[in-house]
Amino acid sequence: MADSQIEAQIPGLRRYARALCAGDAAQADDLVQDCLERALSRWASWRGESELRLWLLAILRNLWLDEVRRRGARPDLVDVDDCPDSLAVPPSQGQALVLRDLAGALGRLAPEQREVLVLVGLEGLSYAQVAQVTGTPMGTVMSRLKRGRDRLAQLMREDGPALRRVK
Amino acid sequence: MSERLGDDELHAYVDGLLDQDGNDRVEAWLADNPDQAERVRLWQEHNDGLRRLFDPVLDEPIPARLLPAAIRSRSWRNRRLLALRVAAALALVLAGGGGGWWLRGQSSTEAQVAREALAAHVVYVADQRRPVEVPGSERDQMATWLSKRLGAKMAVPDLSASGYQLVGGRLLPAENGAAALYMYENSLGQRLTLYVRRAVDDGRKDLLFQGRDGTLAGVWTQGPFGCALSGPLPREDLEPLARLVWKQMGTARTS
Repeated sequence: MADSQIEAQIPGLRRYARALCAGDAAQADDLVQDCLERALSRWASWRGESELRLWLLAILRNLWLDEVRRRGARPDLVDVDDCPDSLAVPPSQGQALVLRDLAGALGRLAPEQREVLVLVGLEGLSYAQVAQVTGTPMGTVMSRLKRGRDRLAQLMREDGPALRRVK
Repeated sequence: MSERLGDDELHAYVDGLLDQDGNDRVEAWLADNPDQAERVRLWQEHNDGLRRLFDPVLDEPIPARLLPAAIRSRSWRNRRLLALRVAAALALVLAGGGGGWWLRGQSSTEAQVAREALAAHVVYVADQRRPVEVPGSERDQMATWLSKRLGAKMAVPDLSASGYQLVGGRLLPAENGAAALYMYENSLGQRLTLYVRRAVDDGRKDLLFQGRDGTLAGVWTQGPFGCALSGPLPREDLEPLARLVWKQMGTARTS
């Protein structure tokens, strides 16, 4: 039965959505609701060809990207894969990770980088599974992961009060 | 000093995607490369931070609105709202319309059938739990039963080629005796009803229309019956469906 199978996936979907929305719980649950609605209406088209969890992650991800684009929340219109790597300077030793800063920095990442970091780092997907969920070639997934991680580190440094330059 | 490891391998290490040999190789190399070890440590810290930030969501109770049962009823309501919006738009069209084929204000047989049909449509289409007495799966028994009650043979038209499945039917009181009401539904949840009762064939070959509150009825007489197909559709969508029913009812009458 679709309902019990889908219900078992809801906590995981909520976590994923919460991370994509960088902690905005209301927006995240709206996304989950839209995702479940779409999944239930298309249940017949799933046919168990891919793992249920990956199918749902892909639906939610597409809805989220639609919304990001609709809101014009993209930081810029440059293809993120064409951006030059920012030079990753190792941060100072012993810097405490402030979770609030991490959520803030995550929200400032380009959506394409954010989703790869979340799928890999939080959802624990393999790179091949990320390619499947995002409909993106493996090479692109890898480059988004690398740039995303470097960018996240950079944003954390910029945001981190400990690293503010004292004049 | 060992050969420089690629970033691919470092990321795979952080993400736990290497086997034991791979892990050992990376760790040995990182021990000799503190700068790279610091990068890797940071990535691990960020992965760990993501889990610490968002794993607690897994233990939150699921909001009721996200449960599949709630989603199903909500999506049904959404489809109904969509139908109502279509109906509201249609009502505006009807208010401004009024060609010769409209029945507004007439007292003909067709106008009477249309009024009864629209009243029945509005009452039963809104009934989510028990819109019909006999389910569509018992099409033949229903046809036999209702033909008997109306005193003339009648087949149940098939609109599945147009996307409307038979929900079922029921018996109703009409001004001059019994009436049959068949209900159809498409995948968007839009419902049509076919209302049939005895009527004197006035020889008119027109399909006539009557609208009320966003529902349009296409009405005609054929043989011993007055018929009306009603639904939340504009005339250009309802008319071909009504003609299809008319044709199918005509075939049934001679059988």
